[in-house]
Amino acid sequence: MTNRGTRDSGGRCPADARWIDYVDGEVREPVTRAALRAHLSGCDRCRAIVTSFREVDSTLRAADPSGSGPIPAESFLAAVKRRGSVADATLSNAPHRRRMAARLARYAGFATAAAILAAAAALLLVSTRSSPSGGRSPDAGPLASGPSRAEDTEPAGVTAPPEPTLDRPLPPGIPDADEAKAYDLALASLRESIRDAAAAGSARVRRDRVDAARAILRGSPALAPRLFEGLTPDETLAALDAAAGSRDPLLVPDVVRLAESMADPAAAIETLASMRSRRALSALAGLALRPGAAGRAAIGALARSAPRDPAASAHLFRIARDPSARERAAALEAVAASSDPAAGRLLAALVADGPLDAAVVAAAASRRDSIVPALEDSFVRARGAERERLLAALEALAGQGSLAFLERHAARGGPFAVEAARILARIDGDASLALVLRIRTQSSPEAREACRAAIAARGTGAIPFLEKALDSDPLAAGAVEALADTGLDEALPALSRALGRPDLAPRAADAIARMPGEAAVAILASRAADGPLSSICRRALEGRGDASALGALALIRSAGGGPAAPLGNRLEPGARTGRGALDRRPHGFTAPRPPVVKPGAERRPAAADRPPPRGGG
Amino acid sequence: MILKTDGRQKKNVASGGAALAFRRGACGPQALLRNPSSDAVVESSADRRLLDRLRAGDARAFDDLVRLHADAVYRFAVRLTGRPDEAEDVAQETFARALRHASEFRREARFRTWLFRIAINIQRDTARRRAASPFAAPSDEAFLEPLALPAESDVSRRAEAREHAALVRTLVDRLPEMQREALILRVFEELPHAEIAEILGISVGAAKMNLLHARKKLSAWLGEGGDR
Repeated sequence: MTNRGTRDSGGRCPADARWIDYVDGEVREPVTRAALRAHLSGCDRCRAIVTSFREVDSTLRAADPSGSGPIPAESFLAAVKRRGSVADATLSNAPHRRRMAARLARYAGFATAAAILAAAAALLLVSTRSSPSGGRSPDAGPLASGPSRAEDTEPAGVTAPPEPTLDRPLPPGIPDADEAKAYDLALASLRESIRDAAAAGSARVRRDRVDAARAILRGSPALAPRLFEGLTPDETLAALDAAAGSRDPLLVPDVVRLAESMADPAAAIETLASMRSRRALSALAGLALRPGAAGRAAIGALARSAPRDPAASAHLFRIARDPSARERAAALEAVAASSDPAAGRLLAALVADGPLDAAVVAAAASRRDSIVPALEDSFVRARGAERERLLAALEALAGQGSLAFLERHAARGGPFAVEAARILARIDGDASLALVLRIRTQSSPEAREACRAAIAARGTGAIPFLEKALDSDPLAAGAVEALADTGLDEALPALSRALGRPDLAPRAADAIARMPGEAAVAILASRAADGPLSSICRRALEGRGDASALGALALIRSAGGGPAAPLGNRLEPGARTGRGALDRRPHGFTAPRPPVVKPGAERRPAAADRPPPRGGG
Repeated sequence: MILKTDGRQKKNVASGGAALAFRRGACGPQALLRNPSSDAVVESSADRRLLDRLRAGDARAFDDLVRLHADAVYRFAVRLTGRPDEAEDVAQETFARALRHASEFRREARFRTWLFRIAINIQRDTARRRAASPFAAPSDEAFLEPLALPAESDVSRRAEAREHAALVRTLVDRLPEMQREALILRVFEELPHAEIAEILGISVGAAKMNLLHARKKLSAWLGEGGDR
């Protein structure tokens, strides 16, 4: 609510508009200013209003978009002169001849172009006369066509252009009929060049014609808006060639329209990409937001320009970030695949704070280490399906051999370590398994658990490598653990071999004790009766603590195999099932159901449960 | 007392009859010119000299006028459009129109004020054409710092600053045309209310109300994080 009270009285609040005056320095009288200041000091509401106005101003100034440096004055001036009519404005009171001079100067470009055109025509004439067939296509345009023109009484190079006609309103900047006549003359020559280029039988002639058209366009920029009028498809392509490399912003809208309407927009897009103006680049970026072939072609053109044009890079970056861009994936891939050093930073920034699918694409398309920290951020942010997609993309990345960053992050711990372990464990190949083993022994508990589950998931495929790894000092300990992680009987021979190595024996015994099934108990029992491993194996059996292990221990004791460790109340039925070493089994394993053991039966295990007699007896 | 300018006068400016907008006698800049304490519309000596030369038929005088005001007009156009490439077009067209109609400039206002008014009319025309066109170029914020790619260490901070600037620009764009223009003229060009009124072709009171509403709206929107 606005209080329209007695202004500046200090009693009732002044109208809000009065504070606009105050903030903008429009209150010039010192007395009034002092009164307003006094009111402000005692009125929270008005102080809040003034503060909010000032905050708005400072926020706007902080976000001022015009901080791009001074505009290049001379090129700007040249552009203004192209647009405007210098002579008409400055010489409005000057004699007619001065206006004519300016007019001639303006069309000097046309004269140059006409000369080029004439030279090209002469060249063509010479080349066609030396060719047996005449070197012309049957449907060549008027300038290139026929002996009638070549055999004209007029000398080559002075062929008069068609008589200009005024069939439309004067174009912008063309003030009178005289100039319109010159304009139409130039337009007719331009169209003839385009027609000839489209009908040219050789690349060289086409190039000459296109160059001629380009020269006419440069000389008479006012023709630009009519370049593409009434052309056949072939002529349109020739006109696009003529427009290539132009700095004239007036050509841009027509080229954009063509890119949007042509079945194959590649030529129009290439022309747009070759045009060296900000407007052309901006239009290209606009097309890149479109779905379909035009969008993809525009993104491709931006990607090609990006290494040498920072503005193109910036556009590509913005499109890659823009959720409304229909072909954003193409932009992301272009950024990811770019060898431009700046693309690495762009990609990292994209992955760190851009849309999550950017991380997916980046991970799949780039091997840059620089994206790794950002990928970690993405993992923290990602949830559900996005996280799965990101994981899949990382798997693909690791599958290409780019594993180093995963190892670094797995070893470092943290949330990404678990993911890295999962990814590595899923990848076939010894290199990834070696990394898993290192993570398995060195990393955080979460990562170790992930490794354990991952190895278990790989099953028998991991065993050959793990057997080999037992012979490698850095990996042996991890290999023992990993063999147990598989939970497969196929791992037992390797573990049994590890049990024979003094440095690995305690770890191997514990690992075997963790294995399900009676075969593991049998191996331990066979070494527990006597020999150097007996105490280790007995401890392992005790640690396993299930009925079969305890039964085996009891059998060994009854057979006089030395004092068994005091079992005490642990012999109580059910006291050990589901506890102890079994608890450390890999997640997802099905623990063998402990046999139902009646009290007293522990001392006499069933024949099938007995360990094999020692010494092969 | 300052009278409102009607739509016809504004249209005249857009179509080149800019001087008409300044022929408003006591309620226009002439009144301010009579007040020696107001320096708002007193043309600078450089402008005066160059305009004199231009009037005398010296074509190079206009070149110097362009050099003198190109930066200011371009920056104003960037603030107006939010798109540097479009701003360049607007600025070029502003000078081209000024050149074509230089003889109509009665020097009752600052030359720069006249340029701003032309620029605003061009921008309004452009915006209307663009709104009617199926093709719309994207916002060109990337041009503002195409080379200033963020270092990895401050990615988030830079991104945040860019996003904030984009948000502010979006909010400014949501303002009604007149309010947006008034605010830009005041905040960035620091023009007095009377000159803002001149440029927009409205009364000083209306200019003030436009500024009030623009600031209130922006304050509310910024407070809500731009959700409205």
